[in-house]
Formats: sequence, C-alpha cells, structure tokens
Amino acid sequence: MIIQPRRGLLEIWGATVRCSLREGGWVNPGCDGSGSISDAEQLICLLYPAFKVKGLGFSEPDATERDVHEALAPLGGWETAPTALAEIIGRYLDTYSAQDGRPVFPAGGCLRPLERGAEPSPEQARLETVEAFSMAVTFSLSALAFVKSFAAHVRGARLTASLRETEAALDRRLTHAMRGLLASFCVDVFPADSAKGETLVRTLTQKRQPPGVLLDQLAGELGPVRAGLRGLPLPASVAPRLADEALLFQCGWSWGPVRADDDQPPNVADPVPSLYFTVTAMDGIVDLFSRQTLLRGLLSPEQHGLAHELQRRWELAQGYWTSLARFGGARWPLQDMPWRTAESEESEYATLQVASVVVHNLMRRHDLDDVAPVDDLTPLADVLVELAARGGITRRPSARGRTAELHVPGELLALPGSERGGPALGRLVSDYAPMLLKRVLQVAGLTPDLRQRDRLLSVADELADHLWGRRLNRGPAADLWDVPGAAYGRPDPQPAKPSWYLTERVMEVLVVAATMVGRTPARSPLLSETAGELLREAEHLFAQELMSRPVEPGSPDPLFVRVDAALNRARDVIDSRPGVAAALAAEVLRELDGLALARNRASRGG
Amino acid sequence: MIVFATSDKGGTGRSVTCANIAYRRALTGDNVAYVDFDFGSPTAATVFELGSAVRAHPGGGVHSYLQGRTAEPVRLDVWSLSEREALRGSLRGAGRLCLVPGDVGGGEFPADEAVTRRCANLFLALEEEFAVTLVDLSAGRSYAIDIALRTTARPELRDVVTRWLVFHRWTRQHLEATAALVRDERGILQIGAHWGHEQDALEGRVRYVRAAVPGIDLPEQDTGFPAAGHGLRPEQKEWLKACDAELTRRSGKLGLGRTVTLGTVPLDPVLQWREQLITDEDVLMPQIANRETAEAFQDLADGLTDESRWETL
Repeated sequence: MIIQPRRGLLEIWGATVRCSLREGGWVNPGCDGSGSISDAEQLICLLYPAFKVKGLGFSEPDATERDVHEALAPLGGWETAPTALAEIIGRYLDTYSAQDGRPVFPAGGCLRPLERGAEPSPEQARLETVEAFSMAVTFSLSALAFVKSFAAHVRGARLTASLRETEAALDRRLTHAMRGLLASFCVDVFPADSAKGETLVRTLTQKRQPPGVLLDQLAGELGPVRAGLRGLPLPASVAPRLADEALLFQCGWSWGPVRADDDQPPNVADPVPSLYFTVTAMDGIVDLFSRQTLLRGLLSPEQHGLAHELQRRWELAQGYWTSLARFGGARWPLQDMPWRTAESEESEYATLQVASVVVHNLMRRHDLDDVAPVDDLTPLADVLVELAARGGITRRPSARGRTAELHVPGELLALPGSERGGPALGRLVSDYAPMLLKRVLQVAGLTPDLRQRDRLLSVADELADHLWGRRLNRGPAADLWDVPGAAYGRPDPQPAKPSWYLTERVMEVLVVAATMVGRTPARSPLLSETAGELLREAEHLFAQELMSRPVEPGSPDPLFVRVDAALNRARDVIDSRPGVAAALAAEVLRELDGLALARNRASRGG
Repeated sequence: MIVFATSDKGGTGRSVTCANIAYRRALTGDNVAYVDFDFGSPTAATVFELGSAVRAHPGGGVHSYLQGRTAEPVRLDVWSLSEREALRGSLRGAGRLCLVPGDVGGGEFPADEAVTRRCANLFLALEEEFAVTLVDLSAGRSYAIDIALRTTARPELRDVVTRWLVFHRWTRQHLEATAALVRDERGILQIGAHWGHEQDALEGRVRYVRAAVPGIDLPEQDTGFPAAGHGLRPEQKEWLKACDAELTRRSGKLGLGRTVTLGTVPLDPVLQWREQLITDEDVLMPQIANRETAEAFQDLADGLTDESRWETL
C-alpha cells in the first residue's frame, strides 16, 4: 500500500470528529476511558497535523481548504468549527487543572497493576508520567499554534477574551510539562560487576574481547557524555560516583519524576532510565525546537530556558544510547538482536527503542551537517528491516513465538518505585508497528542511497498494509484503530471503541510521511546524466533541422514552436527533475525523427 | 430592513442579482421593494420587464422625487405589470414585489440636506410597508453611495436595520478594487465615518457577494447543463484551480474572505446573454438556467436575515 498522508489524515479527522460528538457534546469514546493522556491524544489527532503539515490548517477560516472543512464539518462551518474546537481545548484544560489552576497530568487508566486482581490506590491514579508530560508538550504546542493563529482573525470581544484565557492556560500547562520532563531525567551509576554492569558488558561484547579492554574503550567513548552529565545539577548521591571512572552509568528518562535525596512524596519513580520513556520524552522534546515552534514564537522566555535545559539532556541521552548501539565499529551491538537491558527481559521493543534513539541522533546530525554519511545508515536500516520481520509483518509470524503478542496485548513494562503508594504498576506498551513504521520512514528520508531508500520504503508499504488492516471497520469509530488480531486473521470480536494510543501514533506516522512527500525527490546521478545526454542529442538534431530549411517569413511551424518550448523547459528542470527533462527530450527526438524519416522515404521514392 | 447593493466596477451582475434576490425573497412571502438608485443608468425596469409601465410615468421616478419635483415616486407592482407572463398573476403565498424606478433618461446629481431629508422619508415609508427594501446603488464611488451613507446616519433612521452588499467578480483586479472601494481613503467606511457612522459597526454590516464565478468542479449530472468547468482540458482545469487558490488567499488577505462573504453566484449562460429574473420554470421546464444559479439567489435571499451570517467572529 502506498501511503497517502493527506487522505489518511483527513480520514482520521473525519472519524475522530464523527465518533467524539455525542448529542452535540465532545466526549472521549476511547477504549482506555477518559484521562489526561488519552483525552490529549484524541485532540492531538486533530491539532498536530494542522500544526505540522502545510495546507491542513483550519485556524484561518478564510484560508481553510475545502477537504479540511468537510472533514471537520460535524464540528460546524468555516468559522464555527474552529470556535468549537477552541472551546473543547478550553474544557480539556479546565478538567486537568487543580482547584488553584495548577495543571495536573494524571496518567489514569494507562497504568495497571502488574498483578492481576490488584487495584491501584487513589493516590496512584494521580501519578504523573513522562508519557503524560511528553503528550502535554505536543498538545500544548499544537494547541497554542492553533489558538494564537485563530485569535488573530477574531474581532468579537467575548471570543477574544476566552481565547486569551485558553492561551494562558496552555502556556501554564506547557511550562509544567517541561518541568515534569526535567524532573524525570536521571543518571544511574553502577559497578561493572553488578547485574546491570554485566548485562551491559554482555550486550556490547562482540568478538570475545577481554572485558578489561572493552571497559577501557567504553570509558573512552562515553567520556564526553560523562563530562556533560557532570555539568548538570545532580543529586548528592549520584554526582561523586559519576566522577569515578571505574563505575559504569546510564542516563535517560525514568517513567516519572524521580525520587530525589530529600524524598518528596509526589516524586516516586526510581532513578533508573527506561528506554521506552526515554524515547517517549525525546519524541515530545523535539517538538520544542521544531521549525514550527520557533517560527511562530510559541515559547516564552522562561520556556526557552527550560527547553534549553531539556535539549542538553536530550543531546546527552541520545549521545549515550547511540554510542552503545554503535559501540566497537564494524558490526553494531544493535544488530546483535535483541537488545538486552537490565530492566526487562530481552525483547524486540528494546531493540526498536534503541534504534529510535539512534534515529533521533541521525536526524539531529542531518539537521546540522546536511547529509549523514552513508555507512552510518546501512546497519540501522538492516536492524529496522529485521525488526519488521521479527514483528511478523514482512515474515510469517511464528505460531509458537511471541510475535503476535508484541502487538496484542503488547509488553507490560514495570514502573519501579510505583509500589510505594500501592500495588506495583506497569505500562502496557503496544506501539510496535507504528513506531517501527515511523522510524523506517525517517531513515528512508535521511539516506542518500537510493537503493537503501527503496528497500526501506517497500518495508514501509508492508507495515502500512499491516496497520491499515488493523483499522476498525464498523461502528462510529470506523477508520480508527485498533483491531490488532485482524492482521493475523484471528477472529477477535471487534472492539467498538477506538484506541487513541494507537490512532495518535499512526497519525504521527502520516505526518512524517507528509513531511517526506513535501521534500524534493532524491536525486539520481545516473538519471541526471542520461537526461543530459538525451537533451544534448535533441538540441543538436534540432539545430540541424533548423539549419537544413530556408528561413521563411511569417509565423514558424507549430511543430518547431512546440519543440523549442519543450527544449527550454527541459533545460530549466534538468537539475531538479532529470526524469522530466529526459521525457521532454525523448519527445523532441521522436518528433524530429518523424521529419527525418519522411525525408528518407521521399528520397528513396517509396 | 434596508439593503444597499454596490460594486466597484460595472459588469458584476449587481443589478440582476439584486433583482433576483428581491424576487426570491418575495416568493417566500415577504413584501419586498426594489429601489433603483443607479442614477447614471436607471435600468432596473428591464430586468423586471416593466419597461412600458415606467414609460407611462415620465418624471415620476426617484430622480424627480429626491430633487423635489414630485411628492412621491411611483411604485410599480411587478406581479401585475410585468410584461413577462411567467411573473404576472398572483402567486400563491408570495408577498408584494414593487419596483421604485428611476426616471427614464435621469442622470447623477449631488446630495444636499434637502435630498437626504427626502431620501430618509422615502426609506422610512418603505420600511413601514416592506419587510426588505433593496436599494441598488451605482458602481464605483458615486453620489448614490454618499446619499445612502448620509441618509442612514440621520437620527430618524437610527433604529432601522441597514445592510450592505458589495458585489465583485472573482478576479484579482476586482478583489483589489473592491477592497479599495470599502477600505481606502474616500472609501465607504471613511465616508460613513465622516457622516457620523461608527466605522467598526458599519464594517460589520458589510458583506461581499462573489458574482459570475466560473465553476471548476461542478459535476455535470447535477446541473443538467454542461457546467462551466466541463470540457476543459486537464491543463486548463489545473490552471483554473491554481488561480482559484490564489484568489482565495488574496481575498483573505484583503479582508474579503469567506467569513465576510454572504454568497457566491455562479456564472450562468442565461445571465451572460440577458439580464433577467430566473424563475423555477427556467431551471426545470425548459432547463435553460442552471439550478445552482437559482439556489445561489435563494441562499442570498435567505442570508439577508440570517443573523448568524452577519455576526462578527
């Protein structure tokens, strides 16, 4: 299946609006129930594409495109739909604010006890997670962009006032979410002979290196990251140990605000980085320094400061995990699947998450240096292609293995530290397919090697087939996700409720695809050369043709006008669209050959 | 309610559209008056096909009235006097439809206190009798606009609801000229402010009508008539679409976007050839006019009193 982002996004919009409006009011019909994360995901499905993709905006009624208007029509007309949406955003902000107006981020139904039958305590229902913060960053930014742009077109005093209030609340929410992310970053130091240290060494060992050599090399590679981390304000228990080069360390995001030395009650998470939450945090943080955010000036001076702090940690974390993933040189440890972590048993998810961090690293370097070197991408592309196979997407899922379980029910990730307020909790992670597709598309967009790109795009097509096979096909939520069993021919009874968790992630995939379509096509040197040669011959033959006939007064033959125009156009586009130039040159050659052939016949008298 | 219609340029189909709005509005049961303030070229009578009735009252039109030569302008009842058979005879459920014509051969004249006083009296009298009074002003900056703004600023008309329809065609030149007619120096808003209108409130009473807009993607089977976009080559369609998108952007920037547009009248072959009222028979039997055109007129007629379409966002 070829991904058509505009169409896909509009279908998601249509279905989201259709199933969320009940008797005129906005509700969350999702399978996880209502919660700060799930409600935000539902709204992000509408707001994020408009934020990122040109031509899908709806904040300027005079500039909204017709198909966009039609997809949102149940919300109202050209002007009433944005008004209604702004109201819905306002209500969301009211719902997730404490009495004193402070924004709150309860993870709600997203967290479930590890043990069957246990009930989370009321205190645990209020736990705030990195996922909630990250989603809040994305939500606040895209909603801010929408509200600000809409407010510029509103004249009425009452609506202006209410939009200004919404804007202020979004601003507060964004600040709090950024603080939450900062509080969830952590550094974990451990000796090489601890269980964690041994897992790490085992993961990195490739060719039976003696452990001493490996540790030296590792210390060397991670030197800059260690130095960078030591520049951060760290808890008193961590800072001195980090200075000890004999100890190993890891950094990244824990599942929530981490327990500090003075043990504040709301911060309960163990200060141990989790790959899933690190990637989740990174995906939100990149929105803070995206072009759209900077161009529209969405951040306040205070938020710029916080964003800078987050960016430092983001750089350090991706530097750390990328160093591990590519440790040693020729063959990457990441290719030796699956990635082993100390926090969970080995799983394809861990490989995918480390690969995701590497993609973040490459995109960052690509932004800085234009084109990432080719040899960087081949091992990563291999890993992604293999992950698609292991996920039972490009290869038949193994009957006994855990292939299908990757998607349904997914992997239950423990949240160490959550047991302080009740039963130990976990987070069910099931975004394997959309996450993989997103990374495949991102890497395909980065690679200058066209064959590598084709290979990745064909995997992307299969992943898209798999995902689109998982859409609900009846009920008001038809066209949304998720029926994972459908991809494996399981006769699951269809859930009537959409999963915003998965729908939001598929929407992100479509936004990445839309950005890719918007770029200039990858340039093929071979095609450029061919086009140049064809054009040269066409121009030469045309010159001969003009030379061979007498100059006559009056308007020139239409054939020559056409040929001349085609050659001009071909010369204009040969650099940007060599294929088009080749086609134009070929057409000219054919037309000129018609004349030559006719002359030939005449001279032979045939 | 008094509705003033104007445009920057001629050829927008302002008069014929107004006449059709009046006609559609009367069919729904309201009493409607149509006043011809196109002083330089008073030709509204031809659209209603009331030519001989107007000629029977020389010197009885609004020119003579406003300049004090007659005590009251004539009112011509379209249902009984029109030469077009389809319009004659009482229509069940329809309200009255009256034309207050200009003088045959009348010309422009400037406004003064006496003219505006007489004009105010005329408007008040019509307001009492008719639910909607449509006043067709001439194209461009004219004495008629000046009279209208000066009259409606008078205290005795304070409680009368007034609205402005500004017609333009869907081209770059028309968009720019129209924005200038309303917003520029010596534009409608400034003249209005000069006579005592509050500028923001006046602007809130202005809506635009896009006239003679060529359709690009009207499906043929719905119209029963080849749509304007039918039979175009793909390149021509692409060009039209690109132009349309460009005009949409430009109109938004000039303050003529869809949020301040009351309606769009498609290009209709019938109106290209002759200014006339488009009746339901014209659409159905024989099908000489496009259904979209009649629907557009009906939509405009409804839109005049649809408060939600006159609200400022």
